[in-house]
Amino acid sequence: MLRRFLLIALLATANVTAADQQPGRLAFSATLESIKINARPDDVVTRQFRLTLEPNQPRTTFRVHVDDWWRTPDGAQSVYAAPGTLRHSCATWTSVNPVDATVSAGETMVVRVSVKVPHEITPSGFWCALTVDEVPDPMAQNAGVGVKFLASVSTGIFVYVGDVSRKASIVDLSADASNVRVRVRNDGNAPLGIDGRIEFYAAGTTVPAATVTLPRATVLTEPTVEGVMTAPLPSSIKLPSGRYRMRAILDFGTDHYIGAEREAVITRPVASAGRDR
Amino acid sequence: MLVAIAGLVPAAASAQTASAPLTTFTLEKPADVRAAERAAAAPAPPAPTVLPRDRDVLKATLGLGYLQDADWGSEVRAYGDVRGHQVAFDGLFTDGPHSLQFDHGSGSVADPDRGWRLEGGDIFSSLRGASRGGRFTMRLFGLRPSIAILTPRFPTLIAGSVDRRRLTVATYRDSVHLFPGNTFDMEVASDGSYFGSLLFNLPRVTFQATHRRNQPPVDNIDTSTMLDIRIARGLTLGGGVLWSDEQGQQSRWETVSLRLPLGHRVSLTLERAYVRSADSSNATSSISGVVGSGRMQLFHRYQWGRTDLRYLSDVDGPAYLSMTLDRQQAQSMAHIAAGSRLNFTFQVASAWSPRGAVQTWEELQTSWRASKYTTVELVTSVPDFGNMQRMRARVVQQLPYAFALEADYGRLSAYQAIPYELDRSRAKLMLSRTFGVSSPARGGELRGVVVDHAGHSVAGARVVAGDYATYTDKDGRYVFEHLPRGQYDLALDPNQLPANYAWDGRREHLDVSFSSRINANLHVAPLNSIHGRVYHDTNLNGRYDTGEGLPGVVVALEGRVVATDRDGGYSFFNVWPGARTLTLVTSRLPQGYVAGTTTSRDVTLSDEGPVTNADFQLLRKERPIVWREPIK
Repeated sequence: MLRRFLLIALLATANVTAADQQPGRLAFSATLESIKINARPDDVVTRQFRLTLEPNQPRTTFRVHVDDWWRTPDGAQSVYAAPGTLRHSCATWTSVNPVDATVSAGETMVVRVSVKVPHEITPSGFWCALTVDEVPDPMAQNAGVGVKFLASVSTGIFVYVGDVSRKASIVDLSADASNVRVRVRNDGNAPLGIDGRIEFYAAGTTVPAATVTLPRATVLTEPTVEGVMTAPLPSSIKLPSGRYRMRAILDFGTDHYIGAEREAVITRPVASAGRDR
Repeated sequence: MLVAIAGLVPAAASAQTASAPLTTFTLEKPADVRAAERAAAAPAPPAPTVLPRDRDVLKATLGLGYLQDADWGSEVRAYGDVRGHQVAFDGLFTDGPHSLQFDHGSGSVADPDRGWRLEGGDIFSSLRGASRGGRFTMRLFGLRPSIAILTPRFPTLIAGSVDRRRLTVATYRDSVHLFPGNTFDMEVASDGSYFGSLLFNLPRVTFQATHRRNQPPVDNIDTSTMLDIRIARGLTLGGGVLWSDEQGQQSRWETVSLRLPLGHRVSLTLERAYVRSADSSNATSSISGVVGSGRMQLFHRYQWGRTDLRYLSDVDGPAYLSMTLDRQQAQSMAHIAAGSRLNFTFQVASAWSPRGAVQTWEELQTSWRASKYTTVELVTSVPDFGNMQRMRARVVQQLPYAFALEADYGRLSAYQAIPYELDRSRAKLMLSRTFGVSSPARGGELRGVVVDHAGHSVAGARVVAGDYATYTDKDGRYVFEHLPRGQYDLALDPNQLPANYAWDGRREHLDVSFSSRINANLHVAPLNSIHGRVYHDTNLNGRYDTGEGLPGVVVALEGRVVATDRDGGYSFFNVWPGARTLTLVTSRLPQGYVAGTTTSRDVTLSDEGPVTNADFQLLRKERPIVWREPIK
């Protein structure tokens, strides 16, 4: 099993520059919007992935491959594995062209990504990751001993076959002195992209004293169906120590929100309060 | 009491949370949020499917109107297609003192596929001008012959009270293109009348000569020539001569003009014209200019000239006398677009003789699109805006259920005759409704299959025919129905071809008519892969065994190179089928190794699957034993 700690923009919606303009690093931009496909059995659907090398970059060779992918429950790490490792993998249905390509400065590599949905398949959500790796020039003469950092970028492929079920529930809501956490369980059969917020109400009030926006998270259906969304608490000036009613409201793209409430005593560090002042 | 002094109290010592039971709930999303999310969350569509329309639509508008103090009228308009035929009709029926009448209008039906066109009502004839009748035109051996039955639209203006039947003729018209830029039009009538026109439209020169002869009782003959020379950058020299004989009244008209472009939006035109007839001659000069700037456009024209009149006087007995008139005229017009919905046009016209101004006229035209459903047009005098005798107003209001109400005010034309106070302003109302009439579309059919060399069908490929596109189904089939007549390039969209296929880019050119039933298959090449290893054959058994792989060895395939991985494996993906040669790059062999049996391998990639075991054997370089004589 291959582990990588790369930024995977599974639900991002913008072009990003994959590397800073620092000596020795490759600078390129790629469409990191995840590829989402609604399909039926036997469908063949083709999409495109684009990668543009910045103008002042050396001619570079890339290799494209498709792997299985999932995240650790806390969302901090991405795990990659051989196609077919997961039952809901779409990697074995997916082909790419080109697999190897050499790109000159300023040029764009357009990768065709084709998904062929099998005939016998249960309606549900499937996913995998498209990864583009920089590969060393096989003909380059390396003088001496050195370290070369190779660029790599990944994006998600999500295939929704037939009518999928999107369900989720909140199984825990907790806070410590500096962070608030929501544990979410995916009760459906398709990956969920989840946004949300947590509101803090002082006793006897109906207007929140503070609101925390949770970073977007993706909760899959295997190997684990749970994910934890974590966000830092606001400053102790906005949210001083005390008893609060915490109210989490999550949006996972259906026609309703899910929510959870819990009373909690939050004790803020005094040092933090002083810093805020 | 908490004392907020940074760093005095350890943070971790005071950070604890106590929890109570968790309560869960659901909240309905607002409808507008749901709608916005559905629109935003829909997966990005692939290149779209664009199919010819399968229904023809005829849009018909039926209006019923009333004119204050006058009579009723009904307006009928229809435009669109019915089963592949282009249909157009625009006419007015009236009911009044002259009972129910067809006031004016025309209709046509055309079949663009078979090349015929039938038109009737008010039609124009190069020979007879505005006419009423019917005409049939068809395409025949590259010509466009047409036959028509024509009677004058306004017979009394032509020949007084002559019987209309004497003015009715059958005509034959045709148009011939002798070479590019040239057209010869002719029309002959059953009474011996004829018309001919020769046009040369060349890049810098336009020349047209016409001759028309109408037999009595119409009785006219005219000949004209016109020449325009586009010298350079908009500088144009033009001129023309017209000889005319209308029932014995001869006249001659000559003109010459020069258009001078002074800037991007400024131009000046100088014109000199002479008109001579039996009882008058007229020589005028004019200068006109157009200035455009942003939302404003200005037009100004100044004309001066002299008219010599010769007339018969009975004052001192019959005698011909002559008189000369000097006359000057100026006209200015400003058009202002105040916005996309509001426009003004202001016009000033003055005429004066050496004795002073004799006429001045000012008018302001305003058009305002008040809303998506309301349009207002207003014409008023200036500065006397309240002069109702010179005011014209028109409001068009779109109503629900495809109804529309048009209200007019001013000196309006009656549907039929108004017996009294012809110049009085009146109100007119027209209520109309628009209908959509649908019928099956007519068109050609283009179908086929996308297959690879082995005959396997290719699903999900985007097939393009002209501006239309569709995807192959799971059996590789595609179909375009109701294709409009025309020429199409049949191709595959290379960006939407499934990744494991390639297309050679060869398009097929097709002529499609309404009756076409074309079957055209498209062929693609299945791409495959070549896999192999480079290994150190330690046990000299001639094949790869686990642990023998050598990393970093370079293998080439027709310009492409790869290095072996840590297990000695290499792959070339997306390779076209056929015979291929793999080469071991010997200059990049690891130190101490030499190629074994071969440095190149020929493989044949079929349509069926990848080539595997394209392996290269490496051997340890033998170190020769050198025997030397002992040093003494």
